[in-house]
Amino acid sequence: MGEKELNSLIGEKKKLEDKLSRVTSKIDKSAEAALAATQAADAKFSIVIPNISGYEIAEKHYSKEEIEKKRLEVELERINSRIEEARKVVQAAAQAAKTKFNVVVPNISGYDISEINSVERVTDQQVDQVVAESDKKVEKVIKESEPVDGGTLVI
Amino acid sequence: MLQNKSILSPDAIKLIEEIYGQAVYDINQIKKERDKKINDLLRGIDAKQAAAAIKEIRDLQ
Repeated sequence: MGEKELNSLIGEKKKLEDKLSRVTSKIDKSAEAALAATQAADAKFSIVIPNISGYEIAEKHYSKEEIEKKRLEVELERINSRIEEARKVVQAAAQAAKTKFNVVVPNISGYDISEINSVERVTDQQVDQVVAESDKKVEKVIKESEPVDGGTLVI
Repeated sequence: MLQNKSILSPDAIKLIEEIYGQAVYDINQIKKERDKKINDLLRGIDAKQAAAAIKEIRDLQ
């Protein structure tokens, strides 16, 4: 093999090496993009979207922070709803306890039910006190509770 | 509606539900006591009325 032919082959080899390098680089970039896309997809699906009617989230329109904010908003709504539900049960019990006793008063003169009215007044006061105290305790728990996410969510 | 602007811990929510659960129990106890007191009073009133009616009948005789 002559020197000229050898140089030509070396040149060809160099061209092929450059081409291979470019292709490899492209493949690497594609792999990186694919990995990034996979991670983004995984990140998206790791967000727990509560099953609340009417709640929709369009990930592509929101940043990660916005999605997190919305998740916290929904979580807050769910917590408030649980607290409110528990409170409604208390109110229903209070209403039942304060409903007037069904006394059939005979049509006899001098039939005095003032003592019954007095008992009902005391009961009403006791019930009001229990409701107020429970609300007060709950407010205290809310006030003193450490936020789970380490910060306060202002909506 | 109770307002709060923090995400409460599950423990805090559990505690709140326990507080309200205890309130329901206390209210139901108060109601039971009320109903018992009123029933006792009614029995007493009925007895008094019956005694008064018997006395009236005797006085008429």
